[in-house]
Amino acid sequence: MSDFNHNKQSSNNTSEALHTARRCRHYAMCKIDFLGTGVCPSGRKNHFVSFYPQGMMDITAAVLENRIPVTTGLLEVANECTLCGLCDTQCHFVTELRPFGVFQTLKSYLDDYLQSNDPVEVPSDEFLNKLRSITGEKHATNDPAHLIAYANDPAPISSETMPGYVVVPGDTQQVSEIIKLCLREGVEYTVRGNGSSVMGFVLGSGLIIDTTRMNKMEFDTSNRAVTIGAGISAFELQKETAARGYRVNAAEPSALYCANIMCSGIFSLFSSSYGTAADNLIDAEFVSAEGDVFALSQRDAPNLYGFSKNEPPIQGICTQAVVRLHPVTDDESAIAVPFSDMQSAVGYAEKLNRRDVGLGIGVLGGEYLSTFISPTSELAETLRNVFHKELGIEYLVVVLGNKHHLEAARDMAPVVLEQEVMRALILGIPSLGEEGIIQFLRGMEGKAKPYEILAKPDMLPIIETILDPSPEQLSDAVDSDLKSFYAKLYNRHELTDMLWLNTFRIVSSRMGRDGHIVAFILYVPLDNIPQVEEIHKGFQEVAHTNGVRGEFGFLTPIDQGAMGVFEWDLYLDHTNPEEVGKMQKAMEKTGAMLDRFSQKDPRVLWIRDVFNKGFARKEAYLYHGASFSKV
Amino acid sequence: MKNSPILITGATGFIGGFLAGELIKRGRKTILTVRPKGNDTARQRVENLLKFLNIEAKHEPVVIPAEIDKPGMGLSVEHQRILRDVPEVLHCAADTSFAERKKQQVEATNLQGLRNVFNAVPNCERFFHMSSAYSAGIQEGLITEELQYPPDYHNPYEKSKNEAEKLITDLCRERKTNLTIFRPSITYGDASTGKSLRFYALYFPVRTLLLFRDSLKKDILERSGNRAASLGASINKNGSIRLPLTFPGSGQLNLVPINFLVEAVTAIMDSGETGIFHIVNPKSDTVGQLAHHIERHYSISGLEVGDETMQDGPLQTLINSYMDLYYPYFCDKRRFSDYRTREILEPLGIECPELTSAVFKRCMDFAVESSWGAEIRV
Repeated sequence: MSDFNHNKQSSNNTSEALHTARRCRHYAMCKIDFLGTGVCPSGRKNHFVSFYPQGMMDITAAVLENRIPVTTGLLEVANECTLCGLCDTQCHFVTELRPFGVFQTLKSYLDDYLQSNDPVEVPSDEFLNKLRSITGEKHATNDPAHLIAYANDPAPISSETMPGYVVVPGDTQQVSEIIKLCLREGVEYTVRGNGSSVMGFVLGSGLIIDTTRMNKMEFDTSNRAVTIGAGISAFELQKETAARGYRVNAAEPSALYCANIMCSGIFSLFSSSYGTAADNLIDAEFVSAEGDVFALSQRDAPNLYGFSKNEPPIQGICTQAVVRLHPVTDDESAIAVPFSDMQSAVGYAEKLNRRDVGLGIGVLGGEYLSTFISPTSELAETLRNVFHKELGIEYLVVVLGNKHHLEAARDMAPVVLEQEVMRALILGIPSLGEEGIIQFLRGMEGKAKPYEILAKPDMLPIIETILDPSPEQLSDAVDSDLKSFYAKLYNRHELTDMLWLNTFRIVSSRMGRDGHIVAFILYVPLDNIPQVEEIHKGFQEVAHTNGVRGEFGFLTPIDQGAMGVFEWDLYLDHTNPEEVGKMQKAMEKTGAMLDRFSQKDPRVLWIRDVFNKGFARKEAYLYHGASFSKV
Repeated sequence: MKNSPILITGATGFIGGFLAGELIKRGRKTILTVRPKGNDTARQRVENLLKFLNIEAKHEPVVIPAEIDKPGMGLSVEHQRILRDVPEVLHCAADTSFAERKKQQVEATNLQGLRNVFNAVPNCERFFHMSSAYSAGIQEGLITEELQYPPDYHNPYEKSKNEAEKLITDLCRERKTNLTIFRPSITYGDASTGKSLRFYALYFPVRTLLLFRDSLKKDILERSGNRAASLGASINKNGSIRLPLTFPGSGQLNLVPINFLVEAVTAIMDSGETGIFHIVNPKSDTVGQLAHHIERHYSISGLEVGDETMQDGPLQTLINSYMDLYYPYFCDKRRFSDYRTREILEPLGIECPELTSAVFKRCMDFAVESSWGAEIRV
């Protein structure tokens, strides 16, 4: 195949390619332009996940393992890939994986295959023809090469589930017609965005409805509102919103915004002031289980704002939503407040939120933060050691706000790491690992912890002098062919700006760099911080006894300090069956532990109980003990 | 007893390492308990130590991997049996951290670790315990060679060392074991060779100043010099860096080189005397003398000494933070009586060498050349 633009000499060998391909985390960061370098042109043009690097990783693994035949669809995917290399930098930024070589191998494999074989043409069938009559020929498929990209998920509770068809409708009307078709034909369907699939919830053997083409985005700044289609990602929305001088409450950048609301309501550090669940919602449009279209604002619409813990969620597909825009001021920035114990850190966060101080507040684990801000796993380990062992930082409370918020937050903080200090630490991570610097830090420690000395107001020039932070220093830590790219990237101010990083969240997906993540999210009352610590210790115990790596993630106070959104994460290599087995046991034990806490204090609410009820008013489930229905 | 083996704990540490080396050089049979470190086994670490000290062992030391703060020191049954019959112990293992947050770890090593060692040697007849002159805590004035009962301590290390002295005194009294306690002051490298195994205490301020000297010089010569300017640093015509810093000047610091400590300890061990011995320098040094040595040898100027002429600025803030921690040692108001020690050393002609400019340079040059210990694998 002469149109395969590949270089066999630099191709990964098959086993390396397979190893890399299997390790794709499905975080979907390759589908958004989070580095400002552009997005995979093939994916953008062809919509199916299969055309994006994420899908091509699954396809490569499947074809090299003979799980799918070489089909015309597969050839189309391979041909559309121009080996532009965008995915290589994007994926490395998040996971340190290098998909470029994988796709070279795929092309090379196909090249060899086609020397003596023809591709398989997968025939259409009656149902597919009907789908295509709704969406157009190229937006529905039953080709295994496309289907396989929707069949897997790194979640330890999932197993490969090959769908029969995939369709990418373009608007609400098409979704409605597809649902009605499925009802008539008796075909089960599963809806998913083109975003990530990491929790094992969006696999199905019937039809997959992928909402990616529904990418409407209309701003109405006079009403401080934006209407978004079900195919819009959080990152795209935040980017366009920021360009207009506003901000939305958005979470993981690659998650599709409507799906994210539906799933659990959106929580971010900004939930401290913007709220969660229905707080940011003006209206939403749905296609019901019967295929009928309704808006939440209709008087006769199903009550998705209500909540019942034990009843299943109301079936429906959110096709578009109208959400609130929050104003941005030109005096916003961030500070980080270090702590050596959870009680003090959570106490400080609660105190801020109780007083409405800050636009965003998050208690981050030192390990979690180290992973976020380090471009490689090795540097993250360095930073983790320095934070923990040398500086004594176990938790960092990140406070985002305008200058008035930050002045108040500084007033209430024991010590503060200012934005510029954090920038110096980020760009100087490699120096932080040097023995001389470590000894320097170690030698300062006495009654005061080293971070208390570093956080003194005039220490910035000292930190800059000893660390000599620079994008070039940081980029020295990455693969040699990526150094200049990273140096250029980190010359951009926003890559070290805590406010920007928390607004666009482009580094949080790095938490999956060392392995897939299973996140446990719960709401916890903040009038009982010892209970929060007890839960934290419970997680540690489960992780330890089951031989699973786990870490505290974050806690964000909401609702004037009444509750906190608390995340604890367990990690695994999802390609290792032994680790999957351990994780399954750990998940079971964790579930039992959380049930015990919920029984003891019903205000402790596991996100599982809110799953697919994200449009509910948060008051309906956070304070249900006070409601008439007492659900 | 000289033909019987002596157990030395902490034998790859600073004081323990040099003492172990000396006893091995003298042909003593030794048993060394050593913690494996990284990829290095206990035996490898001892081999590295002997190589570092240029010592060929007449009697190969028996090396036992151990972690003294673990129950039973983490010993195998066979190693437990070996230690059971040991008649003499030189206990040097210690955690020397001053950090408040490492208090538990310091106590675990210095107290529980001591108890574990003592329990492991039920037939021990003589116990030599390496303590510290600073177990005297916050007292001022003359500190005698007796157990001390200070009202408080400057840090968890001092407290643990004081409590350890009392613990081992009680344990030895109960078992009727002869006890000798050594209390050295701040120990630095070998005055004649400059060699050291650890680079804390005296070394830390020098290391910090050299770190700043090099970083600021780079900033001035290779960049805009803005960072140096913001710290009030500049470069002199002769290429030296001017760091405007004031060190507190009152009080004195008591420094002993490791070679003197080794001579003194082994002489006291040979004497058969029991009780407490201060291993200190009868002639204390001052911070001013150290500042002078640093300026003279390491292309730094601007260092001042005085309690009332403190500079402002980040560098001074940092030095002040450091001095807060080490003030009790660098501006010491304690004086240590070494009457008992001198009674043994003077007839033998053993004296503590002065920290002359040349000795200072020798020791610091060694530290720099070994990258402050990074290139020493012991």
